[in-house]
Amino acid sequence: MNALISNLGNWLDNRTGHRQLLSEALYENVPGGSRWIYVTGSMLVFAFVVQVITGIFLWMYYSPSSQNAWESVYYIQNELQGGWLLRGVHHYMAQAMIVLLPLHLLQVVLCKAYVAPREINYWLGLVLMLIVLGLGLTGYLLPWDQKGYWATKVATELMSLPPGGGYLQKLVVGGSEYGHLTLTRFFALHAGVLPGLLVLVLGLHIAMFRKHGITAHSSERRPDEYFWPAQVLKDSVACLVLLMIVVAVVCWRGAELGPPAEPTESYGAARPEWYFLFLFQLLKKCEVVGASEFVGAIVVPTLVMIFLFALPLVAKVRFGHVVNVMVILAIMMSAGYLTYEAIDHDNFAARHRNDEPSDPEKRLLWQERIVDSERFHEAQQQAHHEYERVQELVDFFGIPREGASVGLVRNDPEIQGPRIFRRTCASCHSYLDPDGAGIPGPEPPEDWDGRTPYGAPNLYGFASRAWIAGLLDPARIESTDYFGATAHGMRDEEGAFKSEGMVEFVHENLDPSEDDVKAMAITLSAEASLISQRDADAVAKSDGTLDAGREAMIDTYSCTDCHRFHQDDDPEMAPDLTGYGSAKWLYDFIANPARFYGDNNDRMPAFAQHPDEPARNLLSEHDMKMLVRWLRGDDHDLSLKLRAQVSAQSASTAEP
Amino acid sequence: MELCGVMLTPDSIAYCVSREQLVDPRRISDQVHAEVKMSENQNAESPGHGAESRRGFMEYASLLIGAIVSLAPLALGLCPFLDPLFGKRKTPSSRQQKGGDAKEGYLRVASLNALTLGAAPQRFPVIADQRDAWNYIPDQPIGAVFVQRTDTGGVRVFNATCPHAGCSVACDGHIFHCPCHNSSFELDGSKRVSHSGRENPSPRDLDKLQVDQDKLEENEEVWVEFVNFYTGKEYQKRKL
Repeated sequence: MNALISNLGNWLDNRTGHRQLLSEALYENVPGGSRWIYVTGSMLVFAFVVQVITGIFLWMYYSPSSQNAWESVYYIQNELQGGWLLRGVHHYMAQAMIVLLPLHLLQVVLCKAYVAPREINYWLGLVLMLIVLGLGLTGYLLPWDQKGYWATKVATELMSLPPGGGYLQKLVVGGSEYGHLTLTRFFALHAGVLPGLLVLVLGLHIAMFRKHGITAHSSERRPDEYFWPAQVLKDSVACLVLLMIVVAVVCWRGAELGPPAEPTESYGAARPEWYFLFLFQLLKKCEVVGASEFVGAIVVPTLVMIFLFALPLVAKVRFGHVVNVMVILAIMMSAGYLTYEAIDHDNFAARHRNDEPSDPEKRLLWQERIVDSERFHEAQQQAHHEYERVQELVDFFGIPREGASVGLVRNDPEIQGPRIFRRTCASCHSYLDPDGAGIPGPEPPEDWDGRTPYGAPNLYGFASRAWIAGLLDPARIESTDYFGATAHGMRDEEGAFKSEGMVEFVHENLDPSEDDVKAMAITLSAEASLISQRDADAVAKSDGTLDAGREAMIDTYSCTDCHRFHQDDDPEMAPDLTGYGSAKWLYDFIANPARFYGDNNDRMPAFAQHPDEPARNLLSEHDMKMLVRWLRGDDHDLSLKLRAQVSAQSASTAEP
Repeated sequence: MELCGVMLTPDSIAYCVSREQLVDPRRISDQVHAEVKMSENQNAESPGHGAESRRGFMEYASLLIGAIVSLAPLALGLCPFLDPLFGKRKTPSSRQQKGGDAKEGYLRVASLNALTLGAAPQRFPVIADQRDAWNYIPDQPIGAVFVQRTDTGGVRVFNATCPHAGCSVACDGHIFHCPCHNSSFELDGSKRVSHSGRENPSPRDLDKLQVDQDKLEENEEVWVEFVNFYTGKEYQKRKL
């Protein structure tokens, strides 16, 4: 058997000469013997190989276009068997490379392996470092999520700073705006050009390393060893540890994916990947010394790179090496400090809330940092919620052909509703839950006398039982949660209501603890047919509460003296209560409140007054529907929505 | 032929590509033998410089042809690669007719009724047809603007993109602030120095956009010439 293998080996060697190649590779002399400090180079090669292999598998599932990029990464992350692990290892191994690079550089500089005759190899190493940073930058955009989109947008905007940069920017982005071509170009760079270059330069780097050998000298105490097996064992152990760390981090944290990119929405948590944070912070630092961003983004990094390239030349002068070591350590420590500071500022509120400075000037800065970091965290939270919501939507609807951003996010009331509300309604209305969280409305003017309207009701839970119960409660209807900030709730100097109407009526006639008032609230709320109250409404109908409530409305409290309620000949002096809060009612109300209030309408604009000329309306039909569905909570719980749909379907099939 | 600034002639190449460095010495001796033989043969027929010049020609020709075939694929890619610098795409004919008397380049962003006198600036999406490489998508949000109706009744419109590094600014009702590098602006768009005196990294004020005054007065609608500008410059330079 052994003879056969040896014959086969001879046969192959005669034809390929592999034995010589192998022995050249393995039996390289390591002067002074194998050492742990030498492992960084091999670890970097290993990490790169991992990136190539995992990258090719990711490539099989990734689709670079603005409709498909996020969607395909979502698929890899959430649906592909083991996709989260594959993407996670690719994600964190990239970061491991960025950690290893400066270590490798430091090792080379400390061992004085960058001076003659190894200058060219050192320069090749710097080129490799730039390529790896380029891979990190291009890879960050590919998932096309909010985070990657905005971070990379800043990076490419900065490209336009130097003269002629506008052309460069257009070539990189593939036009003046981000789109399909940005992704196809970044992907070509990330998966083709840069790795190809890297292989080429890495080949030269290793060949040249082999030519000059290891810098160390053999000594009596440390005899020489061959590369194989002593150093190979150390290298493989280091690579195994690296792999284990990366896998552990993936299992612990997972690779993050944000909500899909939305080019026209403000994104308050835009940050580059952590290893570029020092550049990000440098850009912010420039404001302190009054330098332009050109200095921070281009000049300083270029100077640092020039210095790094000049290291072998500096080493030629007396004490040059010492200077090099000191400056390199200074650069690395500065980068480390800037990274720390960037992270610290983003977490300022959490870390320094109790460190209020006594110096008033410093206190102002401290306050501003607190506010900035609170905004940052709020935006991060919001992005997190949006991602979770998109996940729900994908589970419910699947991802349509036009993509998640256009197909799901833009048509989801839970995401769009608050945006439209902030934009259009929050100048008068608030939307705050009982804990005070949500969208605040306007603040009362500083010199508010309580007699001029400045706002409008809190619409959280509009038309729900709790909301209507508050409306029928004398203590609450006059608060700013209801009509306290509107003309309906204003009193004159003697304390009498300025306008005869609902607030006065509730004050004089209703006691919220009485059963018929409670029944009235339930009955009126049932008009809205809220999905969240379906079961409760059904119970109220069967146990007679709705009938009692209707009786109270019509007979006891004579609501129909002012309001219309299911009878055509009812008056229309106050809002129609038929179908109060239902989707159609709410749409019609927002479209044109004057139809409900007549002359009593207090400042509310008609948002869709011209059904035949949509261009003249304040809100599009789509935005109106989003707003209505969000205010009613129709889509809040998708499983409830599904149940409602199913029972509506079975009802309609049962009818004929 | 010039490569990396060095004139290449057959002689200089012969010098650069010194045979001893590249070729197995045994082969060289073979080659020398062959050449000696060849030159002996040629000597019999023609004068020596003819052989020299023919070899020179062959060297020139192979370098030239080699350069052409290796550069050709790059050249093929060059034009398409540079396309974004020139690329102007045709608008589909069904979308070429713009209705009404809209001024060239102006887009409707809001109705005047949507704006309260003296209230905080409101963010509006800018809706227009969008071309994204091979896709043509009608009525897409292509950007965002802040619109404010000032106490005096005028309308101010700003591009929501921060002039510093291109993030999207937000407005809290009192100031505009950018979440990326802490630029901030007064409601009139001018650069703002914060209370603590922290410098503002933005090189210029928020980008004000032109409002069509005729449409504002006659139709009570806000029409804006929507332009994106290069960021990071002290002056406005349009992105085309």
